[in-house]
Amino acid sequence: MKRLLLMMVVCFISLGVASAQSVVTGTVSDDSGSPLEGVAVLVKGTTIGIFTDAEGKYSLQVPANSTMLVYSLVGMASQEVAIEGRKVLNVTLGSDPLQLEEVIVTGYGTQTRRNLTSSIAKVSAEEIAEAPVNALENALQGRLAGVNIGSNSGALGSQINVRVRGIASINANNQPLYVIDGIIIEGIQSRQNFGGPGTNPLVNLNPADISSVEVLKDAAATAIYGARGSNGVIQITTKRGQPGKAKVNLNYYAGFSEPTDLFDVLTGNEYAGLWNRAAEAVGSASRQPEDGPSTDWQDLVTQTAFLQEANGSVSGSNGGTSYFFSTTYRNEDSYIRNTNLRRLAIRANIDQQINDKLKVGISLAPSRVRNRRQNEDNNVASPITYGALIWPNVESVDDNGDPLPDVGQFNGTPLSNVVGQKIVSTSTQLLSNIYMSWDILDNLNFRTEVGTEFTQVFDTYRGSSITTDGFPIGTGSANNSQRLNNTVTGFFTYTNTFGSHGIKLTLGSNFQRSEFERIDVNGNTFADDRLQTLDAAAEITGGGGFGTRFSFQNNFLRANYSFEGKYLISVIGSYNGSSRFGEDNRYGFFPAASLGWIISDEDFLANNSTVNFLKLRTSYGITGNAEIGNFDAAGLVSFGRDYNGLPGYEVSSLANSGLSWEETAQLDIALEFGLFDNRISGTIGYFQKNTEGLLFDIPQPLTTGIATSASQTAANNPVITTNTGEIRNSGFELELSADIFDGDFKWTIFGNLATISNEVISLPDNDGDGEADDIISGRQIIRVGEELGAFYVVEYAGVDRANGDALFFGLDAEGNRGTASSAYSLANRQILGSQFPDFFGGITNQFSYKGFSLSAFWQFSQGNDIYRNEGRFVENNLGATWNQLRSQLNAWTPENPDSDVPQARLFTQNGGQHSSRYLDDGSYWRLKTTTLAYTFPRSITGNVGLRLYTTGFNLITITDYKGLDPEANNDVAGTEFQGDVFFSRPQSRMVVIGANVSF
Amino acid sequence: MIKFNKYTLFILLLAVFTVACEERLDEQPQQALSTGSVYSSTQDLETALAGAYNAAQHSDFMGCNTTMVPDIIADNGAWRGSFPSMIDVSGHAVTADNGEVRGLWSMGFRTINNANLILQFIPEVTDAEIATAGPRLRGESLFLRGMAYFEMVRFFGKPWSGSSTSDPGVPIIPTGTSTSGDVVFPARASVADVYAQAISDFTEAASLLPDAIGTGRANRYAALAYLAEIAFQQGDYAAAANFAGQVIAGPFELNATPGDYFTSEGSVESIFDIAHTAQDNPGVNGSLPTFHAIGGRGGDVIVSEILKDAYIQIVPQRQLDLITADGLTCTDLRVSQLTINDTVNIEKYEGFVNNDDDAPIFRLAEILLMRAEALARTGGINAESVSLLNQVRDRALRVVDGAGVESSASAYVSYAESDFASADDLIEAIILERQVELAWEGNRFHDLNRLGRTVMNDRASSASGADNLVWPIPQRDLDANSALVQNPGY
Repeated sequence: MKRLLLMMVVCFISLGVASAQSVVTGTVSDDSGSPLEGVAVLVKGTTIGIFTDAEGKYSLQVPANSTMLVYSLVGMASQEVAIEGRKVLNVTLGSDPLQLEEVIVTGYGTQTRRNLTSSIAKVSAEEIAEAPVNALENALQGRLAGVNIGSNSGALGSQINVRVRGIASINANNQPLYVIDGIIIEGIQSRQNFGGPGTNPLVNLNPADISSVEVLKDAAATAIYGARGSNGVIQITTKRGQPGKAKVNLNYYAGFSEPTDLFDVLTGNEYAGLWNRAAEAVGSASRQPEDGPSTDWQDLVTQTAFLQEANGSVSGSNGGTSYFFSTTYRNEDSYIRNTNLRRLAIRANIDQQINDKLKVGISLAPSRVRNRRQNEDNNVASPITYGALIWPNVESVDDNGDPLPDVGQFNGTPLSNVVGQKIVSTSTQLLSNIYMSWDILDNLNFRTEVGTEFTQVFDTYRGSSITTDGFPIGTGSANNSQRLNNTVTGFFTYTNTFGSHGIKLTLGSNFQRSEFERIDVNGNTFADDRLQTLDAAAEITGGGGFGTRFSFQNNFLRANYSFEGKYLISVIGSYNGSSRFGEDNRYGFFPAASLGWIISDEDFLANNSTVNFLKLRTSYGITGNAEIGNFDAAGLVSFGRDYNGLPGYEVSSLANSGLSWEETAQLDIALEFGLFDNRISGTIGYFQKNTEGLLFDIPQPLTTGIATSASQTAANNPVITTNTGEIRNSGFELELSADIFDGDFKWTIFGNLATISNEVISLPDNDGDGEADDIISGRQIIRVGEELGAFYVVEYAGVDRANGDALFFGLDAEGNRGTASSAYSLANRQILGSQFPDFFGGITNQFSYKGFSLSAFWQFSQGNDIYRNEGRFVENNLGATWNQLRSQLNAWTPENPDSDVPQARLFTQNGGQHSSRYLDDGSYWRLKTTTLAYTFPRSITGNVGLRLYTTGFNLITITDYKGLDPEANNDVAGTEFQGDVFFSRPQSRMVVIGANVSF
Repeated sequence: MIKFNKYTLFILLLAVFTVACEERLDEQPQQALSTGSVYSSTQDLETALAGAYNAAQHSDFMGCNTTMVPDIIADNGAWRGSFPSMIDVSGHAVTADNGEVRGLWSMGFRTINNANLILQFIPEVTDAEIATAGPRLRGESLFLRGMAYFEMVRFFGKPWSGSSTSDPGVPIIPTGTSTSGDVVFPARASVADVYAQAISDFTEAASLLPDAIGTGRANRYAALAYLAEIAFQQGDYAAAANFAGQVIAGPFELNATPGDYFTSEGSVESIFDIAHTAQDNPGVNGSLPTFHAIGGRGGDVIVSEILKDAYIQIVPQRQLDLITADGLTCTDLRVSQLTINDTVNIEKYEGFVNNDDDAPIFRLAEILLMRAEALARTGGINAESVSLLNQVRDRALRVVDGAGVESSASAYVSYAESDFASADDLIEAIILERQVELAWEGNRFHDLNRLGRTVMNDRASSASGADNLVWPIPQRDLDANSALVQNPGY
């Protein structure tokens, strides 16, 4: 089918139409008669066009059969003017402060903001470009109401959590669907695994190529993606050629980064002092000299790092061709020594108008990211983790200054690991997309697209003989994986107006197949640490291969109807199938509908001086979450069940031919407004998402004799993956923008705020006691009637004044807090915290005066808790051998009986158990980005635009959180449990200086 | 310029994107196969049969536990290891969440299901090979199924008795489970019904199986041996003697010494073993050496003090006096070859490097002693019983002269019919010989149950059939299947 489409496209290209042209000239001005520069003047339905000059003038060659010109400029209302044979067209554009004419990408189509009846949040290219980060998601943090984005780790290229309107799944993934220029891509993680969890595949994307990001939130917006819509959809649209002659844009910035925080651990002598105190407390004779060496391990593995990025693009149009070419190079060291990320990316987006009916285009975006990593958070050989834990009263280097290979009983040191470990993950990606758009009739368009994502991740690991993992013979691994993800789409769009009735119909179909394959090999025993590849390993210790695939079919229909331009109705349905679903349930229907009423167009609000714009919209619909295992529905037999040299197999999983997506019914209601000459505008909305049919593994009797495990030796646990269970998320979302001052000095404030409330409605009952079973994972619980993943730990009751014992609260018969006791085993776990913030969002202040501009963007999260799992190691008053935070010096002594740190007792458990001692308020306000810029006046620079700027990232953080970084999280995105932190690497604080040149 | 008909093109486009994609959504896994794509040829069924043997070979089942556990519950082996699950097993104190309990139940039913699926699919295979292979495939599957029922019912049900028709045994699973629609939630069948099922399976298997297939594979004699053992366990000694006689008539011979069986696997004495090779997930399935060998985990199972007493009693004082009078000493090869470290550690399973010791299920010595006892119980003191007993004794016992030269002790230790005052005396001698000859081979607990004798070791002592000797139904399955009823005492 792909081949057929390509042939057709080629066929169309060969039809090249040459037709007579005429020239139209004119001037474009605003209401006050001032000329408007930079207005795009386009022949409707084509890419033929030009920009107006500084006097508002334009001159455009138009094909003879052209009928209409379109004039558009950001902030102004677009206008369409019929040519009707005229040679001169002077046009006046009205202002559009609410950007109601702005085009919003809706998924297989577009819609003006005015007519939009669903909930879609948009981030502009300017906002994305401001953050000097490697991953798009970091640039989106705090910019989107109801979209909670958390960087798990400050490691380069680490996975990023994106939660659109809460958490709705327990066993399926919670990340949204990512779509780039119509291609559904893998946006969660690359499956590379050396040194830590898989990295973020979106790092391959150049943020400077992005023209907009739309986040589809409600059912009316996501239903077109049907079974994959309920986690929300992130649509990324890249820049394309603009009308007029070539425009060159160059941008370069460079700067420095450092960690936002490091652990405040004891010096060698402080550690020895605490040790001696702790030993004395337990009657141990062990003593450490209090005048020995002192090593600041964290300092040895961190650095002030340099980063730089250059971007260049050329875009324009020429005759029927418009083009956007770009390239970027980024070289970023992180504050961890020997970590580095380099990105080289190229993009060519080309559109060709073949004749007045036919347009084709292509996007090609090859990119390569080389990420040199160190072991990540949940690994004791990770630089910060090990650096914080290891004894400070030892030497780090020998007399020659070479790193010592061990610290007493522990192989490798933080320093020798950072020096001796080489983990490189190279991700090579090609995103490509070819389309054809054909105006079959005046009102009927057909568009077909073929898109491909090819990603190869080549991952190598080499631990030298002085590292923790490689000691003493050296170890190495290599892993090569590739993913080929093809999408084919075709859809019709019919647009027409009958009197006061406007209709727009979209009908189409999409097919996606994704294939993944991996091979890996590992070995050890290297003759020399300089040898890098596995050919040099004396022992090849293992290897393997793996492959998997899935496919989706989506047939969709959308009908928009408007009456008198103010009563808006939209109906969406999609019919979705996937290879992941059971054969009895392979397809599902996902309907949604939305209504909009532009109240300000009613007579009673016409010319109202206070209310300039008012729109009420609501939607309801059904979507699904299909992020389940590729073969969860299948009944499988597994091999390797050999007997006495004969190959054998047996049934290893039970089919559930009825297995399907998790299903979400979502209600959305919102009011959009513009007040006081549109100086204050915004949206306030409420949503409720009910997710049913959650995936659970329901235990089946062992008497079925099914292994239900790929491993033949694992304990039998036959289950059937089944849809059951229900969760509800609801919340308010507010977006607000205010122009405080207008004129030479401008001050604009805009921001967003959202709340989330989450409740588990039902769970399966597997043990047959008639009640839904709790699901407990680590310190978090899923219990009916409670918030998903609430923190479930023993309550810490402080220190016994009399003897320095740590105390914990038990529960009385009624389940209320009982008496405090030092017996941990008598204490009961309770729900004591929440992973969800009460509210979160961001607020931006923008000031400008003449060429100067200053923006300050604060991101905030209020009311969520974080469990500092690392506390049990570095804040356990020396219950184990690890170094301690300085706070532990304040441990209870008879002279200091009021301390909340229990008595230090060497190697003796006294309060280091899991408890609310390590549960913190994770609320924070963070000055995420702030930029000071100066744009030189054209009187100096002539035709060249020049802007100099400096940006600070993560400069200020206001928080009571006792750990390193309140944004930190556990390092795997997608899970329903967040907020349990184990030495997560803090974010980078960066300052960059840059210049932007355009001509 | 090329002319084209836009309507043709329109229809073409429409056709392209509305192509029915049903079959394109039918993706197949690459590391496994879908259930529906196997069990369809003779070769498939042969491979499934290896899978069934593999399930039986699991260390929780026939690969280790059915051999080791009966002797540490009873008095031949003393558990010195650190596994809490085994500490509870040897202490007669298992609970419903004990891993060994769950393991035996799981692997037993896994073997049954694998067998059931093969039995079910044999009639559906139509290729040329099935005509010859079919009966054997059916025979081996029935054998494995019967084995699983019989081994399980002896742990999860009360010992055979007059109340066995009402004592709960284990569920009988009539059909294979390969998809979710096949899942059943069975209740427990009576002990008698489970025995009947096993007898039926072995009887048919004996009629289908050839005399030999190869090492580690079921055969006609192995099925007959199981029929003998079932009858023996039921106290049907006439039937036991009959079936044992049929096995003895087969091509088996005693090895020259008791140790030979364990050093040269697949010897002429072997009737049926569960085979282990170095490739069979070493360290996991082959755990007999793991637990018994000093080179494994350091000797988790050691020779019990009760067994050491039996070693002394095996040569009655009057025989010993004759030996001493001739200036000789007596030695038992079962002690000298099969224990070390001053009769502390066990040497029967020594392949701890690759964990490749076969697990002994039936060898000729066991069948000889079974027929000897069965005949004595049905016919009193008789020449054949004494002769069978002597065959085993004479092989094991040696006299040693002053120069350290070993020779046969037959002249001193062979019994005559006149040595026994009563049939009971003969029976006790045979029981003692069984204990010594078959130590750590998984018979002792079942023998004590058959005899209704107290089951005791250094940790615990319980009456035969006591609640705490009947293993509980695993909690995992009580939770998953409300039709199951727990045994008393749990």
